[in-house]
Parts: sequence; C-alpha cells; structure tokens
Amino acid sequence: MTAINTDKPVGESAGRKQMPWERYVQGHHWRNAEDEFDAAKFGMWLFLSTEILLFAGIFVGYAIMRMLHPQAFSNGSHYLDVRWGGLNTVVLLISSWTVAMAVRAAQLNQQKWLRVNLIITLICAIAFFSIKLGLEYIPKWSVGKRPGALFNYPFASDPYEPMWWSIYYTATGIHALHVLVGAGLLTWVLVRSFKGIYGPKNYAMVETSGLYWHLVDLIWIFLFPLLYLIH
Amino acid sequence: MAHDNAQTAGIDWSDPHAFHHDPSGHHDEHDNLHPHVTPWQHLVFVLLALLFFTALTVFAANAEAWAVSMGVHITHFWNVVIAVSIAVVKASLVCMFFMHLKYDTPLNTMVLLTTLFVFGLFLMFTSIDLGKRGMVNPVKAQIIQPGGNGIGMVKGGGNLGANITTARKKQAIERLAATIAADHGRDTPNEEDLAEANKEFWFEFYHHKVEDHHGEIPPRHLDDTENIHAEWLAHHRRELDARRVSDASHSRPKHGLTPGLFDTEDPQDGREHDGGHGVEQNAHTGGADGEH
Repeated sequence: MTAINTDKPVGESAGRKQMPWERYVQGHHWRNAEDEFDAAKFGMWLFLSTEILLFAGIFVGYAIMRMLHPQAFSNGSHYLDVRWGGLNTVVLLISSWTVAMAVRAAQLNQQKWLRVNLIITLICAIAFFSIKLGLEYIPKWSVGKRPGALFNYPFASDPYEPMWWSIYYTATGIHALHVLVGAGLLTWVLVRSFKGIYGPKNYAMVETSGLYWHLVDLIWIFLFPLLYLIH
Repeated sequence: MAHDNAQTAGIDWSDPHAFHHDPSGHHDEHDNLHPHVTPWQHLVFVLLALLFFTALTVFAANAEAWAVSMGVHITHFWNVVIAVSIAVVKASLVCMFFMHLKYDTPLNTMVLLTTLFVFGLFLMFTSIDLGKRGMVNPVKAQIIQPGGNGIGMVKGGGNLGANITTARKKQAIERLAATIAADHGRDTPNEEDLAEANKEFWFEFYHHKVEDHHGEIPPRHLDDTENIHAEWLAHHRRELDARRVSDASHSRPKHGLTPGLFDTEDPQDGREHDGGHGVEQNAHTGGADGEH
C-alpha cells in the first residue's frame, strides 16, 4: 500500500530535480549502503567509548578525593545552586530529545522538522553554556572559589576546598568543552541540511553527531547528582 | 506529524517519492537504508520519563534534609546510592531510545558495556586500594571517612546528627598527642613537649620545602596572612607531618626499599645479632613441632 499516485510519472521524468540525499551512493568499497552506515555508527561508538574512559578518570578522581576529604566535598556541593544545575539538566534533556527527533526527521525526509529540531538543539546548547558561564563560573570565580593554587576564597571552612573546586572545574569544564564541540558539529549538520544533503538515504552524519550530543547529555546526567545533589 | 497516520504507513521512507520504485517487483536492496524509525510518541514518553526522574532525584536529595528535621538520619551511603541509581536509569533510557541501542546491532551495545566494565574495574581497584590500606598499616586508615554533612556550611549545623568527621579529627589529634607524649616517656604531653614537637615539625617543613626547591622559594610563615590558604594547608598538615609517616593522602618516601639501609645508626643496636639465621631456625623448629 502506498500513498504515491503512480499514475503520474515519477523520478527524473517528473521534471523535478532530485535532492542531494537522493543521489547519494555509498562508497564503492562498501557492499551496500547499510554496511557503510553501520560501520560509521560502530566507529562513532568506539570513539564514544574513549570519551567515556576520559570522563571515567575524572569520575574516579572525584570518588577518591571525596573519600579522602568528604567534608570539603560536602561543603563544596552546598556552594552550588541546585536550581541552576537542575535547569541545565532539563535544558540538556530537551536538547537530547530534539536531536533524536532530528534524526527521525532525516529518516522520514521531513526537511523542515530536521532544521527546526537542530535549531532548538543549538538554542539549548547556547542556554546551557550561558547558564554555566554567567550564573555559575563567573560568580564563583570572582569571589575566589577557584581551583587549586588559584583558590582565594576567604570564608572557606575546610582546607581541602581548593581540591573540590579543582574537581568541579575540571569535570564541568571538560564537559562544557564537549558541549561546544557538539554544538559545532550540529551547526555543521544544520548548514548542510539547508543544501538538502540529509535524507533517508544519507543521514549517517546526523546520526553520529546526534550520538555525540547524547553522550554530552549522558555525562551531565551523572555529573549533576554527583556535584550538586550528594551532600 | 501528519506523516504518521495509517494512510502512509506502507511507504518505503528510503524512497518516498518512488524514484527507484520498480513496478515489476525487483527492488534494489543494495542502495537503501532500512532504519528503525522510533515512533515520536515513544520519544516524547522517554523525555517525560527523564524529566520525571530528574525531579525525583532532586526530591530524594532534599528528602534527606527533611528526614533529619523529623529526627530520622538517612546515611550518606543511601544518599549516594539513590542519586546514582536514578542517574543509571536515566542514562539507560537515553542509550536505549535516543541513541537507538535497543534497535541497533548488538555490537554497539557490546562496545558500551565493555567500556563500562573497564570503568568498573578502574573504580573498583582504586577504591579497594584506598579503602583497605588500613589492613596493612592502621595509621594509613584514619583519614578515609564515610561522608561529610556540610556542617561548616549550615548555621547551627551541630544538630544535624552524628558528626563523624569531627570525631575522627579528634581521634587523630588524641593519637598525635599520645605519640608526642610517648616520645617524652609521659602519659600526656605537657606544654614543653607540644612546643618542641611544633618546632620540630616547622623545622622539617621548612627544611624539606627549601631542599625540594633548591632554596628558590622562601618558606611561608604562619603570619603570612595574605596567603590564608597556604596557612590552612600548612596548619592541617601539621598533625601528619609531625609523625613523619605515610598516610592515605600523603606519601613520605623512605630512602630506598630496604628499611634502615641508609640509617646512620644500626636500628638493631643494643640487641643481640643473630646474623639473619634466627628467623629460618625458628621457622624450621615450628614446622618440626607441627609434624609431631
């Protein structure tokens, strides 16, 4: 069953120019398009596993420092505002959803929805970074809540609070870097989507960039409770 | 989302305009992708579930404080377990539905699970190392504590419950005092003993600082009020440095792997030397006794 009216001529003979995604053919060394797509996705998962291991080092460092200096870390989580952390969690979850919807739109050739979802995702990325920088990093840094040797906060009550700020800035800083990289990738996808490059036959780039963005979301899902909620 | 109604359910979305549609029935499988398209209702449901779990984990974190106000003390352990468990549930939802792992080839899931397994090994062995040092040398165990309660951050926080940290610190100071007293052959250290230990510590502290940096960095003073942080660190290290032993957070290396190798005095001075054979003989005798 199909909704296409087969009485009318289709394809090139219809007088309509094909979109780039329709002309896409897999590399000649691939048996078929699906093999190429699966290999690209598998490669992205391998890369994501190295990203997870990068953050694993930070998480283990967090666990060790927390075991050694629980009072400093308890004080540290009290310094953070759960509202901004929670808001950023919601922002990232929504952006993850819009990316999933963008991939779906590319699969279904809904070009408009592909762009709309990508634009919403980029707005979320800007919102996340603005909240992080304007409401968390700058106010904290300016009163001396700085990492390690830069620490200059006069009202601290535990000598290991500089260590807490080291972990905090390292973890959230590397995560924010990933937000920027992910936003850059999705901007590239958005620009190319205006040329009609992505569609049901060619959406590997949307899918893999989306996977990267979901990883950013995954990391934050763990950073949020560890930094903001556990006292 | 008008495309999702029943009329269009049979469309081949990899070729919706039927450019490659062959009425004869010979379909070219090699050019097309056949992805699993997640229904948008599922994605919306997953998003709502994620937002719900976010609210739940914030609620659970606040519940600890409320429970304390009602006289129930939820331990730090459960605080961590609940927060991390909810995070794992949220991460699983993202992986399964947003990242399509549920519908992908299992190979991608294997990559993720293997990575998480390696992460687990990393965390496990590091934790075991840190947590069990006290079994080898009890003095290394006392720094590791189960959790803080932010007592320094809350006005009147002394009512929050058992302050484990303060108790541990008190214990450490008492042990230090006992060590100092033992050095002087007393039960409790007097003022002069403490002053001497303090002087000894600062001498060591400055000595090592200067030695490590070849004299380029001047020693810090307690009245260096411009660097209040340095003052705190120095003050906190006093307890441990005074004992000149390694602990979980500070390693104080000995000269070489063989204890006493570079000592200027023979550590066995005043005792009868057995030439290293005593241990073997004792072991042999013990074994013989066991046989009879």
